[in-house]
Amino acid sequence: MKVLFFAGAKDVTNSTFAEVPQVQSVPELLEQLVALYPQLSPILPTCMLAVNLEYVELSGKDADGNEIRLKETDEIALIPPVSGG
Amino acid sequence: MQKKEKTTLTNEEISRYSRQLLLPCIGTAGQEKILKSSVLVVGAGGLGSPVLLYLAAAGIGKLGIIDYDNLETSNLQRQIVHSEKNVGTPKVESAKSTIQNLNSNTKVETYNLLIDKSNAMDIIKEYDIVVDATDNVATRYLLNDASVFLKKPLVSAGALRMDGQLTVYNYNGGPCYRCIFPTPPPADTVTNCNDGGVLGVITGIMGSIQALEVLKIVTGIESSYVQKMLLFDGLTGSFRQIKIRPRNPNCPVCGDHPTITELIDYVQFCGAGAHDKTPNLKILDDKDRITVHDYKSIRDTEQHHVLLDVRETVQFNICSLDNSLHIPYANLHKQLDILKKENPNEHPVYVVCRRGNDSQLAVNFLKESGIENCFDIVGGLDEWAAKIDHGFPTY
Repeated sequence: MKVLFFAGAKDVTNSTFAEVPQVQSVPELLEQLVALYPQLSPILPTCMLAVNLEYVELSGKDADGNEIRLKETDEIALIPPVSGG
Repeated sequence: MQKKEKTTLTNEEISRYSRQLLLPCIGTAGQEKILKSSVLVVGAGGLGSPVLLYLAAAGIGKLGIIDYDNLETSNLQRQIVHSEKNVGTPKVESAKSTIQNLNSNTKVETYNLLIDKSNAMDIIKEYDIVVDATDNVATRYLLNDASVFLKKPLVSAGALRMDGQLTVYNYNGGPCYRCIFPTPPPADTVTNCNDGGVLGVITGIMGSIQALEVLKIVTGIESSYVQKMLLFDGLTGSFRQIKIRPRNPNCPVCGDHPTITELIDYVQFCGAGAHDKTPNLKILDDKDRITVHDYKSIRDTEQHHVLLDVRETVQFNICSLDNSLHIPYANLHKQLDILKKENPNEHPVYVVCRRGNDSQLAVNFLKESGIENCFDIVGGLDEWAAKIDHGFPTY
């Protein structure tokens, strides 16, 4: 499955996206990401995650508190805050 | 027939603002609201410049500008509210003079100070809307919390390199900054425009959208970025809207049972100063470092050595000292053999970077890799330009 990197995530990975093996939950996905890009681990807890353009908590819950299940076709985005100006 | 209240706009105002009066979504009623409104813009930099210019042009009644910096030449590439002749003067005064040339009807209040917990509430309470156009994490959390306590919408954007982000926080049931980003990033992972660079058009686009959202809120048009985050990628030209969460009932500031009820020490909370300057680290012992003066005499007396420059390639391409060996810090582990070809244990290696932070990390790495005879040049090339060679470029 494809994970898009934004801002600082793009900078530390030197990449705009990652292909990760299919997983079902967000915590599993984050594990895969750190395995591929260990340099993500310090910024990961401060990032926002979006699945199909919708906010998801890093714990894998959506805004209503429901556990989300990931599908192969999902567009996942890893979005660290941008604080420059 | 329905009888309408006559507009309070003067003839001069009608002709001045006619192009926006003709918009059904603004009209005379909207313009009257614009003229009565007050907006606080925190940061008179890359984002703040277009915000201030467009809001003044549109006729906002009162603009507050907070910034404690003086204008530098390197600001002019993106901070379009300023001009060359004001370099070295306070940014708030420079911005004020531009705004008053543009629209003398706009009242401008300047705050040439660092906004912090001691003054934020008193300043912010005087305004209807807060615009976060700052350049650092600590001030972003400060503005968020103060806006929550004072129930002010916070129109927030950030820009770096070719990327921008924008959200309207704390408005109409939407989240606050902490609902989305509860944890501040570790200080050493934050890249600022000073180090990472930014294209002026990127801050221009993001600041212009901030100004647009302010005008929509003022005139009662629904804001497009409540519970939504705009992600702009200037390289691919893509605008993405992420639907973000509503207010988090468990948020420590805006939640149902807040645990933070007054402003805190944001520099401590973020572990980073309320500015975009890169701190000077001291990682190494003095015995592993030499001054630029000492290094100058090593060069002058032609002592055999290796000068290792560990800056990124884009920086190395801007300027470098003659006879530098260039290996970016990020590649050092992969390209150590390039250095080893120079027989680094037979003569000393002096490591340099822009400011003397990465060079210290590089010295540590080299020592761990068995290259003992290496030293960091304190303060890097910036210090070289300041103390040794005034003709050496700084950036």
